[in-house]
Amino acid sequence: MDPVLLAPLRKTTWRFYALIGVLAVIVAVGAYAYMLQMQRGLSVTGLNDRVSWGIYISNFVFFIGISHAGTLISAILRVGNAEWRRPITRMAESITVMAILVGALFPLIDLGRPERMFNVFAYGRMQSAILWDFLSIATYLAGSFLYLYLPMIPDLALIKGKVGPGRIRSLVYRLLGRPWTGSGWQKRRLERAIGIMAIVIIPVAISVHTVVSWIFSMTLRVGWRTALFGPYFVAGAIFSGIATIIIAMAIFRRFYHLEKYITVKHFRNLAALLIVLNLVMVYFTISEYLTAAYGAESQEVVWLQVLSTGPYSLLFWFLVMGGLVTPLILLALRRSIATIVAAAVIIDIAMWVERFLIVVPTMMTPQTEFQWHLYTPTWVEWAITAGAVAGFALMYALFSKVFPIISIWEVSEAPPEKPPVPAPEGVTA
Amino acid sequence: MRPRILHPRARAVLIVGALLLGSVLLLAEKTAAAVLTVPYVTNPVADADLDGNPATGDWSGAASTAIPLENGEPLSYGTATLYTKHNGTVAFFRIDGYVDVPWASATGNHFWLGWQMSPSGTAHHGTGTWDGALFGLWNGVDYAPAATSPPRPVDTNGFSKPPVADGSQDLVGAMATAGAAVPYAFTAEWRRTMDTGDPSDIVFVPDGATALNFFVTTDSDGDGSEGGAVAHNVVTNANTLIFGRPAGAPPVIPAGALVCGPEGDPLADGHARPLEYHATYFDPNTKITLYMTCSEDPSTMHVAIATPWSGWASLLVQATDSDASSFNEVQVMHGDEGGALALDAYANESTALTRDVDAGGTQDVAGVAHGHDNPVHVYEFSVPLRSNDSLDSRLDSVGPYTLAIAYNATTDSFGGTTEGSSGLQVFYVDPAAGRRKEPTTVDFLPAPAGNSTDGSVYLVTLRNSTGYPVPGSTIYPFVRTAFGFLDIGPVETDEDGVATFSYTPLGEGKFLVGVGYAGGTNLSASVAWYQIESVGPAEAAGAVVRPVEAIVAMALAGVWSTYAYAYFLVRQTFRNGSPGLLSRLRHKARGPHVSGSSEGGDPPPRTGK
Repeated sequence: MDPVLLAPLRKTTWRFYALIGVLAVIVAVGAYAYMLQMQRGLSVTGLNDRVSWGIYISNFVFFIGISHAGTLISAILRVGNAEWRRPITRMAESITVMAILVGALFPLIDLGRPERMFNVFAYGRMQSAILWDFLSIATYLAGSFLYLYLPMIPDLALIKGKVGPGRIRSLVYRLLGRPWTGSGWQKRRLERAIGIMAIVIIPVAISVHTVVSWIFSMTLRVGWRTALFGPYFVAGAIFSGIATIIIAMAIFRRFYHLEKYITVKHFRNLAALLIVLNLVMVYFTISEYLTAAYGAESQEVVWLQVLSTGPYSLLFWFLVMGGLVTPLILLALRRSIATIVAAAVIIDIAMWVERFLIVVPTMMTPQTEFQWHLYTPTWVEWAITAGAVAGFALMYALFSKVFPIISIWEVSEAPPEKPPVPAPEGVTA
Repeated sequence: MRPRILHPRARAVLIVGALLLGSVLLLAEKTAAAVLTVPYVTNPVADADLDGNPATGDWSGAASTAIPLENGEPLSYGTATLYTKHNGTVAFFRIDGYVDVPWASATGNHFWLGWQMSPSGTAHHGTGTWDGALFGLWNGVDYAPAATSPPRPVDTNGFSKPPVADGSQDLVGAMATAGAAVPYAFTAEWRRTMDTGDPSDIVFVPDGATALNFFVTTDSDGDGSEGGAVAHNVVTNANTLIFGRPAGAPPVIPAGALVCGPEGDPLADGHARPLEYHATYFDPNTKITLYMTCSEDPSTMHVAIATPWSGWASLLVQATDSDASSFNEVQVMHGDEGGALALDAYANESTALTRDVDAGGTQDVAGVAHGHDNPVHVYEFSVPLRSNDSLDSRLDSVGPYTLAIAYNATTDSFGGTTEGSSGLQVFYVDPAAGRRKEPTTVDFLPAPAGNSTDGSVYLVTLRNSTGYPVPGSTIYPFVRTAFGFLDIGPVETDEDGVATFSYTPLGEGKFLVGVGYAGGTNLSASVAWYQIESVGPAEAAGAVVRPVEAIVAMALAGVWSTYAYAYFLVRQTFRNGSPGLLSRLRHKARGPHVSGSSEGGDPPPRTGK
């Protein structure tokens, strides 16, 4: 077994502790802000009776979106027998679980009084898109946990006893790893189970973000009431998910010295997927806005003006030029790891902005004759958002210290590689 | 012989004289805007005589005047004669004029005569309320069904081209032309109930004061202002119509108007008895009932407000005769020990609600009392109508005035925002009216069991003070919810004064249902409350499977079953790496395999641990 794969579990540098410290502080600030919100109510936010959904719901949609990373990389590529996926499946699957955990918190945060979440059970109605969302996310989370756990079983059996002291970790490995002997029968069973999960998790993942989109498109609000929202949300989710994977790959590759396993090929393959999804997003974006502009219904015209020339025009044009056009140019012209990662970062930021622009300007568009009401997030909302992002990063970092971030078992099971094709000139690794 | 040439001075005089004469003639041809009071009569025009024939029908007692037609025509085409009268219930109109085309058939030329009325001060083609009558055909956009010959009046509203036909057609009459050559004479006759009850129709108030603007116009080819020999092309709305009060006859109190007449001072004990008050009004928006009466002077108005809301309720009364945008507002609420609290305040367009005492005035609400007639809070109080406090009301004439009732159910102090309001209502201060609005009672009863298989059906009966049913009246049923009141009507009473509505409570518990009658012509409002207890919707025989829920449940069950199966598959491997009993049995049934095969090889021996 390559010691590089177990190095992160065996050794922790001061830099990691510093990172954890910083992230923990940010999480603590976010927790304090939430405590303040619990004490004083939602009046500490910029939310109001006109704009009742703000960055909390934007964050919810964004995090559920990036959770599609695991589904795409692991499940679809597994079903398609793409062998290059093996080193990065666990990174992707763990992103899925953590993103869902963080994302699912935001509706509770937005609720103000979280105990009212129990009303979903007590007074749930099947006609409500909120209930559909709850059921689909719960199903997706359970499936993602299982899908993350199953391929980890051989690794846990492999590494218990090899990682070194640590009672808690040993207990975790023992409980989760169970007796795994690696027999052919066990492997077949496991492969079969993982294969079944891979197939079933794909429609579940697609349904999750479709249902999330229906929370908006099932209303009668201008800007939301469009049949395009389902595929638009799914495409955007996969788009941001791939970008998040790329960023995670670059970080782990750099700090855990995994260059041997996470190669340029992985980045380029994902970059190719990014380009495709980018074009799909461009297509959907043009279709949505052109349809609204051409029909020129009075309220849609107002909504388009808010986006294109109103208070959020800067964000809108950043999304269009920065989030959709610039990555295309970057990825088409130069496909080094640095360029790909830069494009991925821009995409992730732009997709968050896109979620914000889906939620807020529509809520601002008057449906009746009353005044506009601008929405400006307060420090509480920003602190909670930062806390959530830091929490996600913290969980991910701790996960990489407890479990192997590369699936040792899957990598070892990979068929031998074909001789590499000589790289064209001018390409840097 | 040399031609005779006029002296230049003489020529100038002739020209000026011709100009003056022409302008006089022209001006003389322009009929001035009419101001007409429609007289009250006791001899109506029979429906059969409203046939467009000026020779038939009893038009005696009608007022007549020349009115300019808004077609820009001089001489006879530009002027008509209006005859009109009313008997307190029905108004009659007749217009005699001339046109350049005859009406020959239902599909003939598109000559039309248009009558439009509006509240005073409305601009021609302006926004606002318009109530019209149109005879004839509109070019290319004929009213359906096609006009008969002679054309009947179409009851219209609004100012589109053509005006929109009312859903309820309330005009009876006809228009006919006569003559063998131009100019053809036309006569249009019609009648309309003064208060049709149709929200599209303007109410004719025979108070001798309420002014309505109107204009009449003709068009000979249906093109409006766009051409034709005679075309509607003038844009004034300058004629005025006032419906006179019957001399010596009791006033007709329109359904929406309250009259504050003298009944003696009510007993301010927190219980509103209809006989104590001259008029009662129930507002369907706020569910608040307002009782009013005045002292004989009338310097004081006695008020009772019955409100189902907590917090405060208020009465806003127009502050002065001339200023309809300033209000005296009295807010009332009950104190912690059940006593009544009142606030005398003032507001106008530029001043937010201000307590009189904070603005240099005085607290002038008197006789405040509170009672609780479950489920309503009743507040009784008196306010001056001709107060010397400039911040209070000073209503010196009969009116009409405006008032409103409002509430805030979620506060425990005066002021703050208004959560619900009745909107402005019309009322009069007329101690000489001598006639009260007749009290009514509305009773609310559940229907006998088995009356309906679709929810619960409730019967509401509306009766006047003598016990006779009040048919054709609107009842407003509503139910209390966590968010206020939910309207489950309105419904209309039949000839027996009975209205029915269905309501099925969702869930178990007690539900407060109210029914209100807002009042009608000469009838006071009334409200009834009823508490129903629901044990929940009846269990349907057998399970009712809704397709969507079934599909979603099946899909979720399938997904979770798949998860369980996948986990079970792996769970089996936790038994020391060997298959469980079922797999061994299955393997035994298949028989021994050739060793070395990659698929289905012998399971590893079960090892104890």
